[in-house]
This record gives sequence, C-alpha cells and structure tokens, in this order.
Amino acid sequence: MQNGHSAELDYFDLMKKSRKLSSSEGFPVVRAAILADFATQQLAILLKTLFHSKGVNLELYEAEYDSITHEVLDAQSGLYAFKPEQVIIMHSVMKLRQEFHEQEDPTDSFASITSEKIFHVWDLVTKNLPDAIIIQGNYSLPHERLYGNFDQKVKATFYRSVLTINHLIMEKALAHKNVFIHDVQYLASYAGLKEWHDEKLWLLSKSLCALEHLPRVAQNLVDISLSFRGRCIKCVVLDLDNTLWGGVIGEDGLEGIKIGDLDEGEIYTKIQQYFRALKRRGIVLAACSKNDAHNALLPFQKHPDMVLNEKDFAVFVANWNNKVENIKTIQQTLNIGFDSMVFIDDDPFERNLVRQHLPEVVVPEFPADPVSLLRLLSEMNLFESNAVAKEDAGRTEFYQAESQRQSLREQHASIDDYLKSLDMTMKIARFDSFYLPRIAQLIQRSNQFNLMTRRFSEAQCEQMASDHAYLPLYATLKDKFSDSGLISVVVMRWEGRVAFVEEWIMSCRVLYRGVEDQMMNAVFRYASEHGCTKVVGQYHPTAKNRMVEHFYGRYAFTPSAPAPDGAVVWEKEVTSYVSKATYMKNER
Amino acid sequence: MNADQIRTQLNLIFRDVFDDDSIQVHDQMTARDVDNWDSLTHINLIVASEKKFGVSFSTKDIVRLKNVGDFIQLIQKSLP
Repeated sequence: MQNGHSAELDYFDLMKKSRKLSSSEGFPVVRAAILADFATQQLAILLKTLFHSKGVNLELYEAEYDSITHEVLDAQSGLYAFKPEQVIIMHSVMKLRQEFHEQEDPTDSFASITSEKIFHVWDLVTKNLPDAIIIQGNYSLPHERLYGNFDQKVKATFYRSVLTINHLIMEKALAHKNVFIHDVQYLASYAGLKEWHDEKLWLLSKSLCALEHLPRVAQNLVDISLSFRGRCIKCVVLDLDNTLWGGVIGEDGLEGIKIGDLDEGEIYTKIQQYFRALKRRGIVLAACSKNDAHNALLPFQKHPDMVLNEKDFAVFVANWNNKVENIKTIQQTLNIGFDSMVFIDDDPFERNLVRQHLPEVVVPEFPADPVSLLRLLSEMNLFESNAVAKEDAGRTEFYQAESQRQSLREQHASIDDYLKSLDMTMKIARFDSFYLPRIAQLIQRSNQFNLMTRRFSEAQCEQMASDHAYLPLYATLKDKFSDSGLISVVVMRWEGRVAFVEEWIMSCRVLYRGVEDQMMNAVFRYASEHGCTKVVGQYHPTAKNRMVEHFYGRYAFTPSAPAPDGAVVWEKEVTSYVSKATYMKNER
Repeated sequence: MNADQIRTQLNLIFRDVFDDDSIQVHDQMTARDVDNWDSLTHINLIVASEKKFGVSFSTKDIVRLKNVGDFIQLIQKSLP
C-alpha cells in the first residue's frame, strides 16, 4: 500500500518501523540537509522511514538545533561540505513568537525583516550550492489575535505578521527557480491549529507540532523531494458506475443515474469537475468500466448534466474483462509506469484485485459516502508537481492522436511507409528561455528513455543554455495528427576535441519514429562542425532505464568495461559515424 | 487503577518505546538506567503514556519527574 493514508502515518508505528528497516541496498539515494529552528530528531527519523518505504535511501545532514544562520554563513560549514542536492529549511511559529516579543516595540517591519532574513539564506545557499534545490517551509499560523478579527488590519500584530511573512515567502519564491515551498500552513490548517500546536512539547523539547502530526510534515517533504525524481502521477484510471455518477447505467438508464440536480447527483458533478480540472493541468484520464461499451459511452454522449465528455479520456475501456487486464492495456497504450497510475473505483473487490496484481498502482480507498472522496484524495497529495508547462493541458489529445497513429500503422505494410505517411517535422535547437520550464519538466519526469538520469534543475538548464562549454539541445516533433511539443533533451559538452554527451532523454511517447536517429545524426553533425574527433556517451543503470542499456551499441559505439555500479562509457570516432535514414523534415 | 496495574501498563509502553522486551520498570528507575533514554525517547514516553492512559500531564508535573515511581504517581493522580 502507498503512503498518504492516515492509518499509515501513525507516529508511534513509524518510530517502531524505523528501527526495523530492511536493507536499502540498491535503492536510489537522495542527499538532503535539514536546517531548522526547532528540534528535528524525530522528523529526521520519520523522513528516513518514509523515504525507505518509497524505496529511496535518504542520506540526511541534520544541522544542530537553531543553527540555520551559522550553517549558511560559514563557507566551511558541515552543510556545504555535505553537498546536499536538496536543502530543507523550516521554522517554528513558536520560535518566531519568541523573536517577535523580544523586539523593544512591536513594529510594522517585523514581517519584512524576518522574510528578508529568509531570502538572504536562500541567496547564500544558492551561491554555495548552485545545483541544490531549496525546500522552504512556511509558518503555521499562531492562535492568538491581539485585537481579534481586527488583527487583519493592524500591521504590528503577531498574527498579521505571520500571514504577511508567508505571503512574502510565496511571492519571492516565484522569482527563485530553485526554491519550493513546503506548505506547513496548509498542513496545520488542514489538521486544525488547536490540534496541531502543542505548547507543552515546544517547552519540553522544541517540537514543531504535536507528535501525531509530525508524520504528515515528513510525508509532505517526501512528496516534494521525490517529485524531483520523476515520481509523479501521470494518469488516473476511473471506474464509471457509482464513481463518476450515482447508480449503474446498464440498469438505471440515462434518466436514472445520479448526476447534476437529481438526488445526490451534485456529489458526482463535483467529482467530475475535479477530474476535469486535473485533466486540464495535464493528468491523463482513462475510463475503465465493466460495461457494454455502448452503455458506458451513453451518459457522456447524451446526458445533459455530464461535466466530463468522451474526449476528456485519453483511453476509454469498457468491456467485461477483468480490470487488471484492462489497466495493463491502458498502461501499454500510454506507455507509462504502473507507479505513475492511480486507480479509483468504488468496488472493494476491484480495488483489492488491482492492489494484489499491480502493487505499484496507487489505489486509494473509496469512502462509504462518496461526498468525501475529493477530500481523501487531497489528503493523499497524489499529484505533487514542481513545474507547470504549457503542453500539460494538451496531453490527453496527444494520447488520442497516438491511438490514431496506431491504427494507421496497422494499415501500412512496412514501418518505413508508415513513418513516411506521418509527415513528421522535427526541430532541434539550443535550450532557450521559452522551452526551459518544459525541458526541466521532461528531465524530472523521464525515467525509461534516460541514459544517465541526471536531474538537472531549471536553474542548471538556464546556466547551461548560456555556457559555451555546453551545447544543450532540445527537440520538438509534430506530425499530421498532433504537435507533440518537446520530446527529447540531449546535453553535449565540449572538452578539447571530444564531445561528451552529458545526458540523453527522450519521451517514450515518440518511440519507434526515428527521433533518436535524427538526434544522433545531429549530435555527430554538431561534433564534426565543432572540430571534435570523438563522441563519448555514458549509460548509468537505474531500476527503470534498462530499455536504453544498449542504446549507444545500436550506433556502433565501443563500450568500456562496466564500473562497479554498472555504468558504461561508450565512445565513437566522428569519422566512423554513418548517418541514419529518417523520415522527417527539419525545422530550424 | 492501582500503582501495580499502572506499573504493568507502563512497562508495556517502555518496552514498546525502547523496542526492548527485557525492560522491567521499577520505582527507582531513572534515565541513567536505560540505554537510549534521551530527550527524544523521553518525549515519546510522555506522549505514548498520555495516549495510552487517556490523560494529559501538565508541563509543571512533567519537568518535576525524578524517576519511574514519580511517573506512576503522576499517572494515578491524572486518571479520572
């Protein structure tokens, strides 16, 4: 089962579990540091345990209590020596209260002074660890209001100061590409301040909050952290009867199902609205229903109150096969990992079947009263993300075009004829500011066609874009069915007369179309133009990128002996490269 | 609940928190007598006991605790 369920975030259970962790050998490693002005021992244990249950080994640098300033100011500090990829910075509102009351006179400027201190910390961390991302916790709100509701209008009150600080952090983070907010204010208000804060524990042990809520803080950090490791949900598989509407379409008929104004139909209207919003932000929807196809489609075609329509689904499966097989079909059509899929179904039998046979698929419980489904899903924070890209909204259409391509492929006798018939145009260009967010997102999300799995941040991509030691390339592709947008990233670096390929990523959505051949042709053309004699690439194995283990071999590169971690260096003389035939036009 | 019954319950909490089934609490026992009884496990003990006995100890009472015997008395006093 997945994390995120309240039952799995019991403080004492996790503490017990922390002492009995199985071996983390072979787990990918996240190197993080935590700096805080409260005691972090318990949080550190919870983080280790929760990362472990996600199959990740956390190497954590835990700064001394309340040593943020010291750690970031001292260039020789343990923090900088540790070289974390992620720096977590957190504050307690209890500590802030202390500072607030240590002022001679409460002033309007407390909020700006406090937030400036935080921004200074960001600047120092960014300067000393330019590749690291910063995960900045905001403040839970205090419970005391000096003037009651009127605090909102009195600048020098503590309550308004905290609100302002959180707001300033949020605004400033927009301009810092390497800073991400760990929204403690949300967590605390979700749980309720009365339950969240524990003054006694603050006095006794400088604890951030009541122990029972600490696992939620840790899980939230794990969610943010792993979103940078391509651990994100890409598709929601939805049952239809009693999930997207009340009742059973095959029995109740079009006029009998509950949606819109009929009885409790509003519950399902809201559920559909939520999934439509998810679809618009780039999460792909798939329908998976035990139904006659005709019946299953009927409400989407004929019911006036339906929010979702047929086109909102990238894949629509309605038949009498078992759902495990149907989910496998959906997974193959979309070409994504099972661990990036969520399955939502009101039927406990189907949920258990999927959990049993496809343990990687995330299967949330379905509440007895569907009115609380959306709250339950929010609580699980399934859709953590760290970028917004313009292609997100069109992802569903992309997958629909893909299934049209599949039927075209079946009509053509040879693969070459098929590729010609697609009228493909590919553009290969140096990183530019327009594509940077999408490039960063592809780098974070791609797991399979990813030669080295180096998760360059958007800030790093921006640096490489203007560094002439690098030739960072992206590629876009369109054909007669759709514009696929950005589909590949290849980072080249010049060193003397050698062109190093520092990363090679391609979206699996465009496999078997010659994109990688076109890209390889470009790599050798650029290498030759730059006066290089050799191209050197690397393959670093992960649990998910076996499909490209022999990628360079296909272009007759010569491999080195594998390193102990399985990494192989491949090289090839520029003059020995024979261009591959492809079926696409170049757009410059 | 009498002191003996509380001691039995508390023993279970200690074994759980320290993950050590050989622990046998007694009234004179202090943090020095148990491996790993640091400030972190101390807080875990307090909060686990509050949860188990369904009580809430005051800050003042917690900071005055000297040994397990004191703790048992405090629990007894706090029970409804």
